[in-house]
Amino acid sequence: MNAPQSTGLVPADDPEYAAILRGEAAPEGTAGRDTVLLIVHAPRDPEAKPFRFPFSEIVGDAAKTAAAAFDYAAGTPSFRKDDGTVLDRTISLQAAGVHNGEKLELVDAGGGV
Amino acid sequence: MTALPDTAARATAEAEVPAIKAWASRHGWAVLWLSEELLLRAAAYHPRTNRVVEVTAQCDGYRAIPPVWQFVRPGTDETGKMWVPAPGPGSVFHGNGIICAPWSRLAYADHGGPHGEWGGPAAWLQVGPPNTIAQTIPDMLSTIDIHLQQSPGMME
Repeated sequence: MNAPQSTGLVPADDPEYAAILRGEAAPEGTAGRDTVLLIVHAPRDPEAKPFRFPFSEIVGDAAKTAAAAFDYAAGTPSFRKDDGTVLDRTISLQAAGVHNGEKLELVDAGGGV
Repeated sequence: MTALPDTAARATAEAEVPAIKAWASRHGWAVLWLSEELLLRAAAYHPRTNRVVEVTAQCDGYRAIPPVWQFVRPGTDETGKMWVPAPGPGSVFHGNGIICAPWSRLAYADHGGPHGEWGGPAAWLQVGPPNTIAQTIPDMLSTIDIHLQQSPGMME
């Protein structure tokens, strides 16, 4: 059994992240995994950051963690997939259909006025 | 209140240009920063009409006050509802043709907009949720793009 993996912002020397950067690990499904590694871009930063969350993590909570790492203070953070879909903040990452190694964009889900 | 010098606004805006360009590259937008004019031009295709949609951000006074965001006839400074994406659900695209958000100077009553309750443009960074929050130019572009993707067409 693998050692438990830390969650939240992943260090640059994380083996799984390093493997993804080398192109050695393709995004996987959820089978056999408790956690998901996400490559998160934020509009204000040219560089992405890797995060690991439990699949059961609520999207809004995961986005809040990512937002803090990118120095966002206030807002209603969520994630946006490559196909443009903005994730429902109230459901789990698993229910939202995210995959290991997936690239997401941090967005603000606040509405117009 | 003394207006923010152009040199300060230019330095602040230009510090964000690398992130603006990286965001644009990820999302299929073309961006152009005109330093002397303190003007950002940004364009993308409307997903339903396949027409080019162009928006400008006049950044004088940035970040003491938010930019003036306006949709324009592509390649020009001509404004008008025919160049504005129609609003989708919960959109920041207002029926009067402006972007209605705390980060859009024209949304404020001081500048002819509908909002007098946000404390004026100089307080824009203090306006919180559930309003849309975007405190850098690439974050503003991100929100514009999200709402563009939900837009059913053009206003006229």
